[in-house]
Amino acid sequence: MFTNGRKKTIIYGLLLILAIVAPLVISNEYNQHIMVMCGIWVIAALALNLILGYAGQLNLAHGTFFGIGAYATALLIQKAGMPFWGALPLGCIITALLGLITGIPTLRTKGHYFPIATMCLGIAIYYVIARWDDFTGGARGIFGLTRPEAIPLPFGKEISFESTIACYYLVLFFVLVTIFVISRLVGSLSGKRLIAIRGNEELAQSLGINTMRDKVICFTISTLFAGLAGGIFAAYMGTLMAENAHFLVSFEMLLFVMIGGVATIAGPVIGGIFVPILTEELQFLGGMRLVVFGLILILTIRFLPYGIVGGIRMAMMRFGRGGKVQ
Amino acid sequence: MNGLLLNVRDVTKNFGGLRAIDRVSFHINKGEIFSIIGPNGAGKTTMFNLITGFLPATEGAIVFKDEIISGLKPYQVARKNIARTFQLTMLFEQNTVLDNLIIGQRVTREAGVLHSIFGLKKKKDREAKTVERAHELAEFVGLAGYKHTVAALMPHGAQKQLSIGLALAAEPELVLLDEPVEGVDMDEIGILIDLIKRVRDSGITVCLIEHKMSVVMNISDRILALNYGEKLIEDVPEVVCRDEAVIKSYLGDKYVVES
Amino acid sequence: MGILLQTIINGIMLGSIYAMVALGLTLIYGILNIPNFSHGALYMIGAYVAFFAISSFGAPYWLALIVAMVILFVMGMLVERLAFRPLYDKPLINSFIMAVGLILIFENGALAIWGPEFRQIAPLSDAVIRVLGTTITMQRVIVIISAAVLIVAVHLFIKKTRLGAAIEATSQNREGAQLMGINVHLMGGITFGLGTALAAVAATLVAPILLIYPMMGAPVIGMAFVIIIIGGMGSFFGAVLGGYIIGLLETLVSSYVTSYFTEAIIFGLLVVVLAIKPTGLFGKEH
Repeated sequence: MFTNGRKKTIIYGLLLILAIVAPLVISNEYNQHIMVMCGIWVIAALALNLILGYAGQLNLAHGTFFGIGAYATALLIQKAGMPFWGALPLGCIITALLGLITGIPTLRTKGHYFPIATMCLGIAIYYVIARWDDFTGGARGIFGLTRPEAIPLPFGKEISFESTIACYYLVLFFVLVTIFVISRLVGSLSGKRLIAIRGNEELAQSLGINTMRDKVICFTISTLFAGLAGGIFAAYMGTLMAENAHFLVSFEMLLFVMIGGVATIAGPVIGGIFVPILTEELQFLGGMRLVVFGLILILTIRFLPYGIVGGIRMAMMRFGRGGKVQ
Repeated sequence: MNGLLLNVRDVTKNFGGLRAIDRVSFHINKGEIFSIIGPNGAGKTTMFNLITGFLPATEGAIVFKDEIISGLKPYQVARKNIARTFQLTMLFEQNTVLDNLIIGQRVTREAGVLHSIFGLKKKKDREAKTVERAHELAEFVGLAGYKHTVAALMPHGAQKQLSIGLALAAEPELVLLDEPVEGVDMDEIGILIDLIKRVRDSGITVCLIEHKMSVVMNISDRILALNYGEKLIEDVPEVVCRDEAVIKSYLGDKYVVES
Repeated sequence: MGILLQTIINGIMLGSIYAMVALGLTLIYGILNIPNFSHGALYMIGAYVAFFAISSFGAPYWLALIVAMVILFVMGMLVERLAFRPLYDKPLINSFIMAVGLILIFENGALAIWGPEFRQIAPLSDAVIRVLGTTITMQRVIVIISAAVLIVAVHLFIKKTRLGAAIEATSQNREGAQLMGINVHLMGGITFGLGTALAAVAATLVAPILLIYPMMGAPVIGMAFVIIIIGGMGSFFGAVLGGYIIGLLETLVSSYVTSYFTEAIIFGLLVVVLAIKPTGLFGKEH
């Protein structure tokens, strides 16, 4: 967010320390649970932002890939008897493979056909998950998933994941991995290609950029991390329902990204934390909660299309601090 | 043939019932400035689109340095070292001049994804090189003062300069400029003409589409005149500007040339 | 034989609904270039308006239909004016996201305010006809005939009236229409209203048979997009023809093959179609 590299490192360092000590300060188990969920949503939001904010493609099936990752991991654990630590990476790979297979046909579409194609894809996959009773448990879902197995340590100790705090640190680890991979990607020359594709795909092609290949790679990476978030979600929650793969989940993730700030790394992080917390705070609204979110989404896209992060940047530019225009 | 860079052979393009290009043949020699002229709708931009793979030819072949390029996709044509600009200036509007010039480079388009995520020193060096070259390109096209300016905020003439810089970024051998001085004020035209000459002097072959006769006659080595998708003449400026068919295509039947 | 006939009638009826909804969607797309994802939510609200007109105000069915049509026409114009018009010069994605926001508001608002229970409207006619040895409810026939009449009416409106011509002109060439003095914004608004009103009528017509509930728009809107993509976005005939075909297809497949994976098959098929022809089967480049 800031142009000064040194300042950036200090701020991120502080945030990291904050994230690490947070559960020790916030001892309420329910709030800790919220923090775990936020971590999961942040991973999913970062992944969505990769394909949406950087490559400029609105993938309305993102939530479905989250669901695929969740189901893949869950089924590997429950039906194949795999330990979590094997099921999770395999679940990610399965999700990414599906992303690759479906990405190739859908990314061939132009302009507004892509969101429609992914919407249909999401609906189709949702119905497969919801109706395939024998395999996925259908509408009933999957339950009784065990937490990740404990990691053995020297001296007969171990790290157990029965507690919420332990799960929080697990999620935090994966959040950091995700941030690392994605920020390295978008900051690199490959990332510049994605920005080019988002900016003007035809122009990018005239410069020799194989836009189809880049879009597919970006889509695959995006679905891989969506699957990661899903897999962690499954093992943490212990139960899964078809609803977790519904395309409404895609809408929720869209909220995180748009409200936080599209096309930045900080945006999905902020959105993935702020929006779920807001959701919790607004629980008293009951069903109207999502109405409020719809309203926030509309106001955001209308008046603050670059979300919170964008708003902060604009404010900074206005007060002469000189931020970069993304 | 020595020095022959681009050879367009009997190319025809139909859009349904409309024949936009009708059996046109011409060639471009290495190192020259070649211009394509013709009234609106003559098929000039269509020809560019055919050469650069944005449109498939209905018939005929396009050969670049002994290799058939008709049928290749746009990014593949670009990788054969043919670059272009567009009639409606196309830039990465939200990005700075330097960013634009980084995007266009070969290193950028060839950078591997895995390397981008996990690479170390070599990656840093590569990225530094692209920045360096972006600076050089910006200065070459005369945008030294705009390096950190967002493309959308620049005046029209500067945007035209940037679009040429973008085309040069990947070190092409042939550059196709579609109306490079369109909409530009009088003082700017001189800057752009100079730039085009410098491009040619640096060893790059230039092909222009242009309407302003003064510009065309001034800098072209050879000219192709089109009308209604047909080739009228392909020759040096002195001959073309006297050709009856060419004059008629621009000024209509009523205009009679004093012979 | 009897079952087949019933199935076909059901298919045509479903197709009529799809045709009207798809027609509304394609008209909006044709003039504004926006795939209006919120179309399904507005469809649902149309049904609820009719429901409350009947249950709270005691209006007769035909009046409720007209009320729903009018109110949703106005709503459509408001949505165009307030939600979408400010986004015309912005990237297309913003309009999509706006539509998503509208869906969230409408569907969850309906859920929160009116509850998840299924509502029912009494059919216009309880009569039953016997044809070829099977019974067919009159209501279904009414739906089919009303839909056909309405679709023809819309067609005549576009082709034979000045307003319709202005709308068509704006769809084909916005700038040109503007230069001719047509108020293109107003045309867009009217078309949006018209498309929405069509959806409302469809919802109301089918409400006695398929019931009313907050998420009723979701399955319909998905199908509507399948239809207009296959039929060509912006194409009148593509939407109508596609609507009937898909309605028949869905009903026949459900009855005779499997009802389990019908949706998955149809939507999956669409992804395949788009993969082969990235702009739809008869799509026109806008």
